[in-house]
Amino acid sequence: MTKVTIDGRVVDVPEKTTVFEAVRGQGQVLPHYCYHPGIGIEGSCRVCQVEVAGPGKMPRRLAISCRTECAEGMEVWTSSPPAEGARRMVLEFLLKNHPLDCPICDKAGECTLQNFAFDTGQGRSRSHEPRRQLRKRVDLGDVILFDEERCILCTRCVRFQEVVVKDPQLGVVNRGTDSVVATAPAADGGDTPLHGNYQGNLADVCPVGALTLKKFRFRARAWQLQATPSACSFCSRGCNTIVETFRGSIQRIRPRFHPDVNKWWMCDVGRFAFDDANDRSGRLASPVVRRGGVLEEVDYDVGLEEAAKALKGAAGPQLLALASPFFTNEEGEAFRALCATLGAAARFVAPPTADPDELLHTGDPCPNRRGLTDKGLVVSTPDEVAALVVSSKAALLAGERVIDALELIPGGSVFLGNAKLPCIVTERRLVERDGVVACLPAANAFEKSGTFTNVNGLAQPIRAALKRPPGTLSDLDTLVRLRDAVLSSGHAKPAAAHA
Amino acid sequence: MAERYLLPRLEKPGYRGSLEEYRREGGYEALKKALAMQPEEVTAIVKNSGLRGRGGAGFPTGLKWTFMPPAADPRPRYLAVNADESEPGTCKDRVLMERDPHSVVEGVAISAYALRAKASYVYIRGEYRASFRAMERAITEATKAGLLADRPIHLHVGAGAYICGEETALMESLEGKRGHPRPKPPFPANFGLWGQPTTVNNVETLANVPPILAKGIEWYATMGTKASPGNFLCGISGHVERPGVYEVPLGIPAKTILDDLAGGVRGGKKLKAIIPGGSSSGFLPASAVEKLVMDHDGLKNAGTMFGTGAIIALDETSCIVRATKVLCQFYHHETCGQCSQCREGCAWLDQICGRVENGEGRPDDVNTLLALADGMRGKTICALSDAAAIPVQLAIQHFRSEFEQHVAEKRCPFGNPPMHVHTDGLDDEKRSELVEIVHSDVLTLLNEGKSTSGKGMAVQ
Amino acid sequence: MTAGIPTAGIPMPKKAAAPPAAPDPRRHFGAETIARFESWKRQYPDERAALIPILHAAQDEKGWLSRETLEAVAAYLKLPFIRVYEVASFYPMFHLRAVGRHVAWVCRNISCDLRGASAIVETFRRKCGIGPDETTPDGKLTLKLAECLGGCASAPVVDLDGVYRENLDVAQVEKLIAELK
Repeated sequence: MTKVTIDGRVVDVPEKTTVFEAVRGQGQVLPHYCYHPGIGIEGSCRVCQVEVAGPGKMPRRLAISCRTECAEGMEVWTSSPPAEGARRMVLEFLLKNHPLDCPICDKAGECTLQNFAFDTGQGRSRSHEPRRQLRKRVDLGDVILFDEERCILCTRCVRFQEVVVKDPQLGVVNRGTDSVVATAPAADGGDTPLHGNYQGNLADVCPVGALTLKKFRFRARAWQLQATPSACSFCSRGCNTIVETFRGSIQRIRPRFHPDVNKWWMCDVGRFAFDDANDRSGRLASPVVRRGGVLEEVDYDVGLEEAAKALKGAAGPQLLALASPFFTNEEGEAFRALCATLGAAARFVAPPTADPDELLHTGDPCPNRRGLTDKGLVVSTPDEVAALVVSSKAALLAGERVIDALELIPGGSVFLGNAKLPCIVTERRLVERDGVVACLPAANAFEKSGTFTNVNGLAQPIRAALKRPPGTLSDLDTLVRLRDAVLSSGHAKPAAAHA
Repeated sequence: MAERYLLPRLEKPGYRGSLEEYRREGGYEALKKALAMQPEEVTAIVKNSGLRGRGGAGFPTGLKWTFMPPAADPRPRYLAVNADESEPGTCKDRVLMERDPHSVVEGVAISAYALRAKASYVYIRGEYRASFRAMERAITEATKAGLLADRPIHLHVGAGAYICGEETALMESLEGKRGHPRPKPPFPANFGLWGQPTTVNNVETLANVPPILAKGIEWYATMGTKASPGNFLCGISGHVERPGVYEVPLGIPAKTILDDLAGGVRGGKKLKAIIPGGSSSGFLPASAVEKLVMDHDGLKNAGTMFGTGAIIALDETSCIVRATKVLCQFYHHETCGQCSQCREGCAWLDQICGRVENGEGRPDDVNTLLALADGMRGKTICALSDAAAIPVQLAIQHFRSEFEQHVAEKRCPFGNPPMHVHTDGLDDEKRSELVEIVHSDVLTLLNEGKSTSGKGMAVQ
Repeated sequence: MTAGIPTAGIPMPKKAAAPPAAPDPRRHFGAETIARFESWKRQYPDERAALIPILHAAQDEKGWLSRETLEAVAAYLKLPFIRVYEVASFYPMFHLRAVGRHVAWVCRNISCDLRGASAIVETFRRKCGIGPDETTPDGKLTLKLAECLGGCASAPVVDLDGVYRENLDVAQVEKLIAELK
């Protein structure tokens, strides 16, 4: 440990801690751009300056805190007039050419140029010079739109690609004040589009509104967003996320730092796959049962009772019970219990896996394979389910996109057409098949709370960011009540509601 | 006149700088002497000679050599020779390379031995093709003659970037990258070329090494001053009768160079100002030149620095504002762009000086220039930011009234035509497109962005 | 009630399309140029260090560095194209746009400015009709402004096709222009 004095306070820090991190440890985040703990130290933006004295006899001087290592006996002043003056000057230089785009810039409200300038800056510019003009909507592919004028050349994006993804695609082109961040020129004279599964992180690391997400463009203001911490449900990594909603729809998903799971990053698959969740069309808003050959909407008492009756009739080993691969541990447990009551093997359909990608995506789109198998559900490969499909008389399908998973299996969609389906717990599809007896509403991964166990065995919570269709029960509630209904021989017994 | 040891050989009529001729003049005796000593002994001699770097910083050369790791350290080491000579006013290294390349090669060879360098790389600026060819011939001759043993000297070539004269940017460029200076620490002796211990020395500095080895420290001390021993090559240019490169002892009065060697101000005009040591040393008024002594202390006392010792003379017809603008546009063009203050500041200084020179100055411009220059000093990765700021500070310090006159009269009182200021970014053609883009974004935001419930944003 | 089963699908990472093949350097450059490349590469412990000298050699053959030429260099040194492009764009001696048969660099820095550089630039405008960064319509000459070329004591200086012409005056520049083929 090393003892340093920060603004008059003596502090113990681990060896080799930078002054920046030592100051952050005391609760103060100094202005900074080029430094990012996940990308590395660059030392070019110059905005994190503080005054230091030492080690030893080294005189009191300005230094960039990101690169200065704490040494025994060092003294640090973060807000002396020279330190604040130096930072203020850097901000004045950065704002000289920076366009006054705040009213139309997506980053407003979460922009560190705004924030640090507000904290440290001098409010007025002394510049009377015309601002540099560059391209304001550079199309860099499916994910990112780039505004060259807003860029402050912190080079985080360039270094992110180089250091984190290990796939250099961006660079700084030209020199001096003509410098621009760019991809390589393409053969057609345009810009080479970005590729890869980590482009969204570029908008996260960009401190200003230079690199922005096409998908989020003009959708909402940062301060309008309601943030729900959760975890991603699109692969078994379980990257920690922040799901941001506005007016009841997901506007954006961002990664949340976790030192062991995903650090600061998430892949584009999980980041952008929320259109489905926002699409409320075709959602089941109440239970549906077949009456006189037609599917009719009913209330839960009736729906649960009909479903229970149909399941009891089909109970036994020839009942194919398939859970959604997106079930939480809690739902998995409830499903297992229901299947035990029905005398059917509790299975879940795992969608086909692929190779892991270059960084985080494990290749296994099932977010809770470990959790569900730990609970005793049997993971059924596509081939196994295809065989079972042939030998089963009826099926209980439960949970989000279980039908999608089934349709990916050879023979699955044929099965859906032919066999008896006494009960489906599904979020969307009203299956117009003769065999369907009862459908109960299900939720999607953004509408439920629970835990997923990731590929390394870490159980992590997910939290609902969206509301289920009004009046519907959670999957957990549905499964528990269904089991109660099966057990109580036809009488639908209202059970205590679970969250 | 004091003794000279750098130029007499190449001034001999018919001297072509070949190995044979160089040897006839006593060349490579110093190398022989050095190879008979331990490398550390050679370093000690150079250190005790007091030789200071001739590239601009004036750092004691032998002391810099001692920063390399001890002999037991197994890492490969390199000597990088800074032949990037790009400081405006400076034209002396090319004289040595073009006309007496063996004097440089021998200096490199001895120094590489002293530093235990595995190889030396001579970074020659891309425009110096004649120097490159001459050095190439000399190295081929020396290699064939077995003079370089297992310490090869490789030539490298730059491509038009002043910043690559900064030692860490030189190394970045040599490694095949953009010339972006590296933050220090670590210093090159610890982490240089390809991460290995490296020393970077200027061409003229190394050309001093063979004479010091050959004739000894006492001899060397007879030239120059105690704190700045030896001779230097003074390139003098601008408004003088006889611009040229002259070998003179450190500590010589500036007037001696100006009047005796360079023939005084051309056309019998009066001296107005000089740039004493290359553009980054800024301006000194004629009054300061009277007593000015050309060594490191003399220039420090005059409020500036020795730099490359290149003198540029400006006569009474010169406009200091214009001259400042010429320097500002140079730094604007040459800043690598890493550090916020330098990237924006160099352009800003250029823009303001351009407006003032073109008669569009504002009353607050001079104070703004001073504030910007202050904000650019001492807070960046390398000293280019300082180099851009110093001429502005000194120009205003010594010639403020000239700036104020430009502002007040809304013209250049010296009748100079307007100067062009480089506008960063896109050309005029693209600019009108941009207004359209911003307008359309505003409309999109107002109409589509937050207000309606179409396009998949349906909620209930 | 919806008919049929819409398939939302389970999103997976997209496989990036293979980038278009870079030009084969040995077909793009002449044998002599390749030999120069090889010779440069040999003198460094890390081949990337040969990039700038190789870009010079490439430009010597092609006259300028087109996108295709830069890709060929990147392929030769096995470097990402963006890394080569960023380097080429940093250094003014590399022409990323086509230039004329002759390139005249006029120094515009302080010592040359004090000794008549603007008159030389003006001479080119008068005689050839071009300004800095422009090329004559017949493709003969490109004019560039240089920073200090190191010819201060023999100012003003023009670097014409790699040869320094020093101690110039307007008449000499006019003669140089007239002699251009």
